Amino acid sequence: MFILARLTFAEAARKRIFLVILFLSLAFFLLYGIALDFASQELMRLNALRGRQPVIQQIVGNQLLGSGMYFASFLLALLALLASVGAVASEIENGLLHAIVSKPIPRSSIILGKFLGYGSMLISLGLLLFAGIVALNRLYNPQILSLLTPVHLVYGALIFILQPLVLLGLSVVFGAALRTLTAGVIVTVLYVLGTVGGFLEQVGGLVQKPSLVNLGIAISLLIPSDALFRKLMTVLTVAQENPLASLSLGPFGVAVPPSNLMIIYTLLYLMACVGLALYNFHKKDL
Amino acid sequence: MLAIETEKLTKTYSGRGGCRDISLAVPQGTVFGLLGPNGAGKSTLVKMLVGLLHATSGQGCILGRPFTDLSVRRKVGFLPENFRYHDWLTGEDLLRFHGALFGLSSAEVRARIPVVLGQVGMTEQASQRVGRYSKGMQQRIGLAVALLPDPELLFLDEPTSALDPIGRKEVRELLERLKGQGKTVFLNSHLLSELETLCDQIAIIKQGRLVYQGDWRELARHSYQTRVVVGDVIPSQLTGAGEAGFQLLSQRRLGLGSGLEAAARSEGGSATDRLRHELLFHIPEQYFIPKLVQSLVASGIDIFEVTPQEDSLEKLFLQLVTQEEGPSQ
Repeated sequence: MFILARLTFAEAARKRIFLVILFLSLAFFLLYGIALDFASQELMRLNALRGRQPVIQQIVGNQLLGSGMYFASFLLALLALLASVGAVASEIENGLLHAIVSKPIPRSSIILGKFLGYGSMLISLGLLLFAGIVALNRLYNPQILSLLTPVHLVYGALIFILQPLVLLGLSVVFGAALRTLTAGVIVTVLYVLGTVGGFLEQVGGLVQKPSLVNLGIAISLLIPSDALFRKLMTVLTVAQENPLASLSLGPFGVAVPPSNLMIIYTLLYLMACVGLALYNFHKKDL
Repeated sequence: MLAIETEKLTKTYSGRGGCRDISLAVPQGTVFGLLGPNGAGKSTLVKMLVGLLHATSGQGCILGRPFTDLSVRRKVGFLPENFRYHDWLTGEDLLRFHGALFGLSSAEVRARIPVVLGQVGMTEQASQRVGRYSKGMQQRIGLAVALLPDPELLFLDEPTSALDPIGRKEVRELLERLKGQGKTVFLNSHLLSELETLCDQIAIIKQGRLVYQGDWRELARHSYQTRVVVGDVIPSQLTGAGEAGFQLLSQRRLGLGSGLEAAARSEGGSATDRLRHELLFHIPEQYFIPKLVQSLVASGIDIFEVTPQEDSLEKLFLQLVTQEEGPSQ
């Protein structure tokens, strides 16, 4: 399993999409840093003119932190989708797996190796992105992270990396059962559906429409990627202990914060994905 | 012990295609050829035996253990028909990776890599990326991968399809050496001339069913023919051979080459002396040839040449696969 995980990691890191995402991440950090710098200067100018503005600082800071996390999550989601969707399906189609499955190794170790390989690549890049965004916000936007403890930070990092892992899990499930294109389309549609579901849930919360909230929750159960992002924002802004956090809605705010149960559900969801992928691949005729 | 033994092994796709009720016995230390027209189910059988396909029913053993037992694959090499390898690895890295998958230790892998690279003639190209290899070279490195664990049983699915004539000859020689070492080679190939040279035993699959298995030369002997070149002959002289149980299949007059004609003339022979006829007889077994010769001589026929005719594998194959019906095991 670890031999395959190592090879998968090395192969994934060599893929053009990984290099493109890496380049985009660097560009993103540059632009994000510039935006934070401008915002910080503007807030300082405002403070100098009108005295300290904690509400405005909170609102702007939250949106900046949220946008950073959102776009970084999107980059990771792209990588998870484009790099891993063919991990099993295309290797079955092009015959690469024929010489591997015929070896004295259980089929489960091939799926687990693929999952570990791609997972470790996504986790590595995810942690880098997460650390970069937190560091930039600490530098330019320290107030927003003032309540953040190391526990929150670790918890936030866990939630951040769970997002691409969910998509990886789905890619492996569908990739082990369907053709590459079909699997790719299904996972992409699910990802978009998750985002729409999260949007519906937040809007439902704002307008106090329980049916919309329930629909959003149902979609989050089907694909928890957006719910994870909302949870991430509540953890990073320490929403429970921050009275100003409720003022910070907007596109990256959280009207209806998901509970901690969502994280447990996601972990179970991931395990179910891997289990289903193992079952599909075990039954698969190559 | 048999290297491969299957009992009513069946694989169908939604009840269609694949192969059915394949009961095969492949002795150890032989080169065994699997033949059949396109779509007959040959690759399905090979894929089942190496674990790529799940059997619908039936069972089988490889090297004395169920073929579904993973541990048996440590001693089984496989070159897939649609070979494809990680093209970003070098040939040596690829072998190292597959060596680890075979469960070989690092020391074993280090020791085996130069051996297998030498066997397939790829020593010089070992440090090049697989993606830069020609198709023939990729097939060779695939063969090296299959040879890596020093297998007792080697499944080769069209092993020379991408090779040039020199490459084919080298692979043929390699397989002969492996046979000499007591290895069993299960060869699926369309190249009948190749199988004819290499294989001791064959199996023929037609429309998913086994129509023949055994020593193909034995099969060839079942329709033994003998070509006899005789002098001038009249039909009544041939009745003796017919009464002795030898069926005359054909008769034709042969023309003499100018050299032979000149030689015959210089020796002062008549035109009748110079006439030659070719007779083709069907005989039950090879040891009936002296009896045939005796009966012809007794009829007063001059015999100039006797040549046993053996059917080619191609002819036998075509006979079997174009037959309307029937297992002929």
